Amino acid sequence: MRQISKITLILFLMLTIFIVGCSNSVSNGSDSEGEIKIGVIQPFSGPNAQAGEETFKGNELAVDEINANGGLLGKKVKLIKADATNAQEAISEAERLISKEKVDIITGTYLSGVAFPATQIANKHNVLYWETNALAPNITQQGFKNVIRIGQNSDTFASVAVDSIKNVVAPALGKSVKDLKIVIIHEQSIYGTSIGEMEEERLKDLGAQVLKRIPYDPAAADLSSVVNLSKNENPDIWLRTGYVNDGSLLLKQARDIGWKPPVIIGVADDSTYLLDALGKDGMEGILSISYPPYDVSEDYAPGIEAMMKSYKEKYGSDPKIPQTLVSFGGTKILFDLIKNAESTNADKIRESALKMDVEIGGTYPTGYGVKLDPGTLDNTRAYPVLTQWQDGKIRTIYPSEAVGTDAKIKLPLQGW
Amino acid sequence: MGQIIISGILLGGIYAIVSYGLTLIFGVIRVINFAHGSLLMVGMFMAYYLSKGMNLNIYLMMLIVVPLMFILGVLIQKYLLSKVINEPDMQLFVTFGLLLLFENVMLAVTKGEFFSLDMNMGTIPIGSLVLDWGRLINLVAAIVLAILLLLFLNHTKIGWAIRAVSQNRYAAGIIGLRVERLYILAFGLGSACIGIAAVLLTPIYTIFPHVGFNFVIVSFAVVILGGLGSIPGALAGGMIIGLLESLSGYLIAPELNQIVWYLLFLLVLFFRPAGLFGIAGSEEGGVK
Repeated sequence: MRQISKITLILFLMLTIFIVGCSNSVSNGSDSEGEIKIGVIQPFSGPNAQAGEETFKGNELAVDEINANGGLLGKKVKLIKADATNAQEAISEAERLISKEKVDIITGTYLSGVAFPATQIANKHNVLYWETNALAPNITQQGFKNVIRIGQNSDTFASVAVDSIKNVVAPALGKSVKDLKIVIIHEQSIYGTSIGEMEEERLKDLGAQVLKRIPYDPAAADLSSVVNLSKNENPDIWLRTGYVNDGSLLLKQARDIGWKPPVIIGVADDSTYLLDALGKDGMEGILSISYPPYDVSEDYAPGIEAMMKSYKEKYGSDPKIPQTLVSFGGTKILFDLIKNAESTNADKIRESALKMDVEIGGTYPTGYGVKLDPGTLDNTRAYPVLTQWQDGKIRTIYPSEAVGTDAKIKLPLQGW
Repeated sequence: MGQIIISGILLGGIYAIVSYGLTLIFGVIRVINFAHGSLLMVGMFMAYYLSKGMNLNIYLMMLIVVPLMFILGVLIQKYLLSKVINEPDMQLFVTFGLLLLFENVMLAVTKGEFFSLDMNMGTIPIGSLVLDWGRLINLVAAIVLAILLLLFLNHTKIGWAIRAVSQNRYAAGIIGLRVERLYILAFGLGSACIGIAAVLLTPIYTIFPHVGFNFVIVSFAVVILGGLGSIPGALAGGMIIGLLESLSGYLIAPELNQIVWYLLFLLVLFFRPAGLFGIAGSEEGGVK
């Protein structure tokens, strides 16, 4: 009996190997001259699977659109998915995309921790790594000539924070920037620190009073010391960069000691998870530096309405996260560059990208302009927006050209 | 400053309540329960879903979550740990395996999303100082639970039996105590304590599959600081670490607040390995 089951097992294994082998040879067989292949690295499994999938949908919608209009350089565009949730998987999947799938370009990435190692593999093979989403500064600080970040980065997030304090928050409080007292808090890794330091420097340049900058551990079970240290300074503005669970703990602990400063601004605090944690009343009036949300105006972000329509047709719901729009817009810029360069070669696309000069607003569905920093190849015009929680919804507030509704900023905050 | 001390004491209550289950299981069965944090997470999800599903107050969920967690603990001890009762290394692997299992199942179920109860229970002002209801209820519960556990262990026959087994399981077996059954009961009780903590923490924290990690290291520190297996030790250890974290976060820097208690933890391990409330030389411990 035992013998038989062993034989069955061996047969089963051989069959599996055979099937896997077949499916591989099928995908190799589709290696044709008439296609431009783009590898998409995202976390398609694990805790960020849903976000990875939603981000990928942006690439998919852009590809559907270009293929429906005759493709690129006379060829159809094809996407190849690669699932990476950590650095090891990022390396092996990037290797597979380049060596086995023979992709022309790689794009991504919801997770900065996946992008960073994947760019190194792309650099080894001189394949273009087109970054539409990841924020971490180190991705473009490696001196690589093949890594272009067309999406927002910590620099542009800090710019929007400072610009909106100057242009809308100070006037709403009826104060001049020089009279504003600000406490900056941020989680302690490179993500929060880089944004926090840039904000401090630029706000001080404007003459604002940055009373304290407090780094903290986002995994701490208690952040009351951060809240109390901030409260002691009695600031007008509490400016934060962090994640979701530390954000909800900080806001709840501020509520627990009954402290609400006149202005609270957070990076990406437009998350519905925060709404779950604090409720409509708790979030009312809190400002967020956000990826362009779906209420920005069609004039500022041409194509956003068509994108939302095709999303709904294809996936049967409204877009779930703003990262879909960001990868959609980034992919459209890539297609324009491939047309300009008449090639998918990393060097030719870089040359053509460095020449590109598009103002913010009015061209792409994110509202982003294009002007690369020649050193880092970061897009200096990937400009997020300022949003505010109003009656349980996120409303775009700044820049004013982006505002697609009749929403107006409401400040100061009125207690919890 | 008063506010900082209040915050520290309230935080101490949180650290104490998450540590009782660990110290009970550790003290009796001598298993380092790696799954401690993930059991807490499972309990928090139970409390969250039940409270949302039945639309009832979260604290009422204690009536359901605590028995469920007791049963879960009984099952773990009876069907997994008791199979490897004489192999401490294997016991570690079993609890570590449970940690991976619980976290990944919850990841698959929740897709890694965050969940919070939107509960604003309000605050109690005392002069210029403020206490919040959620943490205050937790602190009172932590003290009451410590007293109940002590009464149970010191004044009931089963409590005596558990202490006897924890002090010397071979001798306890010789005098006729049914060691395996008492182990099962102890793990069940430990899990039930984790269940109580889970319900109390659900209104305070955002819940996600890795939420247990935020508490597991600190609860190991609390248990070792207070003395392995000591319930009053866990309460005192929680208070000391809570106060230290709060004060050092405020006076030194929030990013360094954990370093201070790690240092204390190392010093205690070095000079009083039995813990502050353990009897010197009693590292082999027992439940007190």
